Amino acid sequence: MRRAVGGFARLLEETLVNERSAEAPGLLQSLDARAKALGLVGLIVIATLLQRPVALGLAYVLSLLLGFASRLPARRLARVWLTVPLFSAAIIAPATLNVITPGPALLVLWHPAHHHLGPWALPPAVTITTSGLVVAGRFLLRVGVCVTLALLLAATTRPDRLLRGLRALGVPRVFVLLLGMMERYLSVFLRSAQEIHLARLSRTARLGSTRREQAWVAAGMGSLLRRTQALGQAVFHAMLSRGYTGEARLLDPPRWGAQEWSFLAGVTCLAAALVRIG
Amino acid sequence: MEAIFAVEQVHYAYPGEGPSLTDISFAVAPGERVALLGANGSGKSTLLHLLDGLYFAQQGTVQAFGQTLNEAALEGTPFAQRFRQEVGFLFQNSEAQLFSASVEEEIAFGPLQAGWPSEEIHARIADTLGILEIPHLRPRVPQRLSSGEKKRVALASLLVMSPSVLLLDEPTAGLDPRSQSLLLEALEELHRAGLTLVTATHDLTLLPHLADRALVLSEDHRLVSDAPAEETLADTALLLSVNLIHAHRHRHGALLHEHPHQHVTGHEHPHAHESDQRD
Amino acid sequence: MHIPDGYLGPQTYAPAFAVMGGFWAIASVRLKRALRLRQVPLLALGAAFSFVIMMFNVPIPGGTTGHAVGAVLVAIVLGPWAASIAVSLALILQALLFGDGGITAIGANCLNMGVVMPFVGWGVYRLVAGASPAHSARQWLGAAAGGYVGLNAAALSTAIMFGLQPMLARDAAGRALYCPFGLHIAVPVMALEHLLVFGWVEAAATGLVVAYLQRAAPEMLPYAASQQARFSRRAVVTRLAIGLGVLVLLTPLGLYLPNALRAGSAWGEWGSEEIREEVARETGGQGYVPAGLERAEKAGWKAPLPDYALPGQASASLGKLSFSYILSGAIGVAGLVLLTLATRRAWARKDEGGTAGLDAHSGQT
Repeated sequence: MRRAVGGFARLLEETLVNERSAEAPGLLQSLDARAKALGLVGLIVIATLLQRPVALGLAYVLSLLLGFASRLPARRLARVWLTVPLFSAAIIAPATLNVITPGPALLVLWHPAHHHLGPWALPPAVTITTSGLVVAGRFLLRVGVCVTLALLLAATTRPDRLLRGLRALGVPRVFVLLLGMMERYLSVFLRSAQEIHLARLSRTARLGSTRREQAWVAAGMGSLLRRTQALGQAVFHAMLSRGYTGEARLLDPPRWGAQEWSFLAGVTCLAAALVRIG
Repeated sequence: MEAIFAVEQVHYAYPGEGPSLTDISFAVAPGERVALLGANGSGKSTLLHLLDGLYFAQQGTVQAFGQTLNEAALEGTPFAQRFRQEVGFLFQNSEAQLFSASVEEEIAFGPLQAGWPSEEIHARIADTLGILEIPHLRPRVPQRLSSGEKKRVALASLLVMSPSVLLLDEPTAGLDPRSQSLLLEALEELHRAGLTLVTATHDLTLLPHLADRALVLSEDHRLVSDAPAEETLADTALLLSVNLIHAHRHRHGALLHEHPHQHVTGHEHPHAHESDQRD
Repeated sequence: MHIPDGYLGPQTYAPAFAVMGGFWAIASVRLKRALRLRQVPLLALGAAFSFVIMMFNVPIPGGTTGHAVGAVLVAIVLGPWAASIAVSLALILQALLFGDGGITAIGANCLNMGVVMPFVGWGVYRLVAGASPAHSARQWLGAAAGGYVGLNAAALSTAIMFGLQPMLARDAAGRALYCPFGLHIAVPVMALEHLLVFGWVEAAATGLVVAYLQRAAPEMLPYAASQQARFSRRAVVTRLAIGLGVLVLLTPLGLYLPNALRAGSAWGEWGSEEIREEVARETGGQGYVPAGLERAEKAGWKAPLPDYALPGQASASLGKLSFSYILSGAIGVAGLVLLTLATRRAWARKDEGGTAGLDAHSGQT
């Protein structure tokens, strides 16, 4: 139960931390969200195309530099490795073995007594191969680079501006409108969901049987769903009342300046260089 | 002069529920200040929604500016556009009313829907923020504001369209005293400038500030009174019968006193009774 | 089940985006036609709700907790098309703002959790709950079943995406560039996880919430009986029939693909001849057939359409076999349909007592 509260609290905390870092006077923060989204997502795509670990390493260094230039503390950039990359490491570990990635053996682990494990054939020796290490290392490095770049985007941009910036990536206006409203109602929800959980916690530590706990979680989700519908109806009326006719219309965003263009130019050059390397 | 609203024998019930309004008829002339009084659940909020064309009466007609309000009339017609600009609805729940990313965008919503050119929009936004004395709130996120600020932003988002009618649903609910008095002042000024106001409330203390005329809805969803505000306030029997004020019962020895109590400022509660001395 | 960046190569994630783009376009058009203006705020809130659902920890027997996705639940309440948009929005936001799921993988994640899951799960729910009234047990049973099947379907499509990577993307030295685990690993592992654990979490979450709604807010179940059902029974049956027909016509693929890929029979599904070959391959020499197996084969049931072919066709050409396949498929489907109808008639007599007398609760959404 505390884990659930922890989950919400973590999300709220993350949101707050992002808000703070988005206000800092750094490089990425000063850019218009659309240019930033284009540049950073472009770099993520490039990262998924790179093959040589050297190129990936350079890409990581680049993302670190961008992070420092945007006043992101090194701790935060490092902590990113404890999220997705951590479980990715666990997942990719078996790929170092010769049963997955054949190749020159580096370290012999085990000589199996039998030739088969169920339907799968086992080799005479199970080893860690160099190829396996390359595959796993490259995989992890790529995951790390992408996660860092994604953090840069989220931590240096106000959520509403970021969602608006998606227009530059071709996302249709209706989606941007929906995403924006959704993000705002999320904080309302997270707070209500947290209240539900805390109210529960304050009464008893455990309801006892799994079934009762399940029923409680279900009721929580159910009442949240009802509140969703009620609020949806109310918002719809508010929009209708101000003349909503079904078309998504947004205020014109500010124009791009030299900063944005030079950022994109820089990113393009670096991306080309990276692709050239590997 | 043509009435702004003309309501004729309107009945309304929410799908699957009992009646919400029964046989309501009245009219509102331009420039009037009308209050809809009633206990919770008497249907005043529903009536406002009907006046704004958000719900449509199942029986009877609701006319605004001479046009009957029904789905066809309000579906993308020129009348619909004009109607939406002329009539502003201040909802009770600010959470639902403020749905944009920044105050600036919130206020821009109406003008954007109406298709105004963007310079005009920016100019109008600046004007409206100035009038309500909240220019500092321009880049803020509406959901994070205090309740008083939220109400002012909501009002700004309506006023930017220069409406001629304002519908208000419990406008002072949840506001601190200062915000409340600021709002009431703003509404009085707007009325002086010629706006028609229709306010739904169960708070009798607001009546003298908000309305010259009061329509009272009973708990069985009927219109039981349509009279000037002062008269209505003085009619304690009526107010008791519709649950707008409560009655006190005191025991003094063997005697049981019952008298109505209005929590209206300036009203004295006579504590002393001759019977007290008998104990 | 959120796929991060780096697990899928552009050969997979780019087409996924293309497919999703088409899908979103179709979904928006459909919604605009059916619901008109109302869907904008409702969708945004449905998406927010979907997001929050993914954060609730659902307790499972054994004292641990698991996460649910909730896509089928949203489909039951809003319909599958609206649900696909709501879940897509939630996934997009999770990826962008919270790093949950990769940005390049958004298309793929939306395909798995936003298309496969709600549609399959909703279909199963409709199959089980049918036209039963809002208070019937079939509603929450259908919901739970829908949740379980939907999640496993999504797990399967995710596993397939993973499993295809080593085949699709290798570097010059033949090493896998993205997820290095082939289908033979990805599919069993994900299937096991979701059939044994996460499927039940999803089933519990979906079923319990629907049960709660049945009591507290039955008007939120638009597919229960006596609603103006958007999908008439005839439409559903027609669609099913067309779908089945297409599948039956596609069955010869089961002949051509193994031939093209030079695969043997499915592991464990050997007749006596094939056993002899397998044994020969493993141990060298002539191979043999275990005596017990031989006895069972001689004495056992002689199927009328052995291996889905007409008798005597064991070594006929692929073309002729294809025809027999299709015929077998048709016979099989017809037989099942008749059996199901007969069972349903017997069951319906018990259940349908409660349909009369429910008010039409439509209108508010």
